[in-house]
Amino acid sequence: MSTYLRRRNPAAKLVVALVLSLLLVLVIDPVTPLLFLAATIAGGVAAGGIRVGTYARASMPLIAVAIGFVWSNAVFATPVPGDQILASWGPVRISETGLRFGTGLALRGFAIGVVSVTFIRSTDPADLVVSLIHDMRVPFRIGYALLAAYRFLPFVAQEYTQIRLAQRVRGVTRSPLAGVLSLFAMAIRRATRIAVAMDARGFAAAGPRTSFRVVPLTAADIAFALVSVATAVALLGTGALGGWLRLWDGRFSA
Amino acid sequence: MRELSLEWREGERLLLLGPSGSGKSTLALCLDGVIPHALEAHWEHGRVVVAGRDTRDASLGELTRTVGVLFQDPETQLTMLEIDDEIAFGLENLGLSRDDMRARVLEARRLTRLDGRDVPERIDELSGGTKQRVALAALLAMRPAALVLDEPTANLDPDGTHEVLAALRSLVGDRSRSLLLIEHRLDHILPLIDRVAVLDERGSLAVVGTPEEVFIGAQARLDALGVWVPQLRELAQLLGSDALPGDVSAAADILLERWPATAGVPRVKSPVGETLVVARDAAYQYRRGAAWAVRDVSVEIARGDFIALVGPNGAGKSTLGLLLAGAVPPTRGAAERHARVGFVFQYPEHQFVSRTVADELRASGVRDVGPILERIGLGALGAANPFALSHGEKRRLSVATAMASGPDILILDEPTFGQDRRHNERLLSDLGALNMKGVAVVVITHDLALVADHARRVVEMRDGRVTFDGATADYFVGGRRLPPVAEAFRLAHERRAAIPPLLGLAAARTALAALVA
Repeated sequence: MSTYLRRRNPAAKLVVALVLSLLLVLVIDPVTPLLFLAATIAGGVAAGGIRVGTYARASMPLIAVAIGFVWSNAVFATPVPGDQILASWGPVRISETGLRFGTGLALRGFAIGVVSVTFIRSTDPADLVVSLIHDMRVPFRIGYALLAAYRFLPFVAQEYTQIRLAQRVRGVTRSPLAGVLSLFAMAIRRATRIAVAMDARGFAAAGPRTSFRVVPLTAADIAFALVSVATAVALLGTGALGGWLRLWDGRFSA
Repeated sequence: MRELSLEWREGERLLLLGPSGSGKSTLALCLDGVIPHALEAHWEHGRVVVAGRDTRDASLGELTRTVGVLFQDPETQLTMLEIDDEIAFGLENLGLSRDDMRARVLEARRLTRLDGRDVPERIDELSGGTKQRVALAALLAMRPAALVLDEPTANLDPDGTHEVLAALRSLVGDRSRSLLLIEHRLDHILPLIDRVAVLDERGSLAVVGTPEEVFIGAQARLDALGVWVPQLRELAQLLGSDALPGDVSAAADILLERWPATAGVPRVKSPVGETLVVARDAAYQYRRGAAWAVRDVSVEIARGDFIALVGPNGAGKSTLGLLLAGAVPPTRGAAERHARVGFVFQYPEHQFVSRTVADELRASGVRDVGPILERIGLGALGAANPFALSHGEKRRLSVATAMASGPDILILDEPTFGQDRRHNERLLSDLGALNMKGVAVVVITHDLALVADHARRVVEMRDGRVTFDGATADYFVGGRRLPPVAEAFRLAHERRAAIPPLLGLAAARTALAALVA
């Protein structure tokens, strides 16, 4: 499945994703992140072949966090003079400023999540590592450690399940942390074996290392990065023109 | 290793044997320079010379180009996500150009028959045997003059083992590469071997010579060391022959020549009692939406059963074991128990819950731990941390804790994995003794010889379903892979019907013993 986004250089995509996330961190109003959200999903669907359902599923875990943001800010924000109180039950008052700030935070979280999903779903991990080493000067020892870790994680989850089952079979029910020692022992042994196997193929000895996989960085990738960032700036501009845009002023609540 | 002097010549195919802890894998790591260049090790004295160079002077790069090592677990030696990247990994480390790499990747794929269109590109979609062939291809691409294979089939099911051995046979047939093989399932590799070296517990050379010299000439020494010998040799010995049959047809010739015409077929007694566990249309998935690990399985286990649960990797054997043990409830269907179930996990670390070896036994309700520790060879290690034991010791401890809890059913997941012959025999005799007392034993295993020799009933699984459930004798008919001894008996039976198609050494011993009596 080769889509426009999938063909783009991973390092270029990573830079774009980081820039977009950084811009989003600075935005605290609810409307501008919504623009980013819409634009990113539209781009991901059209240029990356990512399904809307994929975005929805990936956003699920964020929903609880989002509700927390909205609720806590709406209820606990210090009322500003002249602030409109939308509803009140006894001591609980929901202020408009708080609600807006909370919704902004939540939408911003979703927008960053959607940018990350677009990056991950359109990028081959092996290409990313090669591109990081080649285009971003990441030392290859670190790059390959990342790839090994990527392969490693599912095993850790599997091991943990096995340990919990084994303890249940032996009739020992302890805190979820009780299996951590076993988990560490297995993980360390596994990691050592992988390292030995890599060195047995000359990894530790590698001087000037060549690369079999080629991940080109082309003019099209540069153009993609520039257009993406320009679009993001345009979205900020739209927000400003519409009068919605508010940038972070260093405060952590409304 | 201690005072080890051994020569491995160019083009020679050398088999390395020794009890667990004798330093076989350490030697492998010394040969390709990982010791001392990448792995810390205490180097007391002596030297290792590879292709005329002291390994301490040569670089790791040079050494890995000369000697390639294949390890036993495919999961911990593959680091890439796709086959071509994996094969090219070593070449990248050598700094080869892309054109060279492409040519060598193609060559390595051809040598290991990974060049077909039906081979998926992503490594996580491959079976264990195919993954091991990818690891082999990755070594071959570096064009080493010598290959070291450290138990290359230990983690594989019978099909995977067959696949890897076939690849190996075609690689070393013409002696263009030297081969050092560490392996304990010997019957299928014997025709490939020129010389055998046996290490003792201290890591010194105990015996070296041609297969005949070692397996026949030094037989008493091998028995004392507890080193595996070919099963076909054991069969020949049982019949009073001093030959070393090189393959099953040579063993069949010995049978035709020596099997006593008056020997009958030993009758298998099945002292099966009341039902202990029942699974009815049981199905299990590890999480919602995941594939069904077990699908609609109905099976019963009765007092006194001795069952081998077999099938390819990923068929759902371990999950069925957990369902029967009550460790997980079936997602659909039912699993009812009228008995206490002990379960021995494939990796013993998983089930350790205590800080010391002695406490590990006490956690299973043992009061007097001394005699048990003595019996499993851990007499001096009662205060040790279970995680600090060797793999074989851990396995013995985990089996002992499961036995000590006094179960009516004992389920063991690959209990003989990584054990040397002596501990393997002791484990199986312990299981036999428990079984005689009425304990139902279920062994999940890939070891067909174990199945043939010990199990009275076989349950085979594929893709989560039970594809066979019946007597062991009925299992080993109909085109299924046979263990070597059974294969020899079958060949002999085809040529002379009076020779019974026995399945293993245990049956042959019983038949001959009945004759003497």
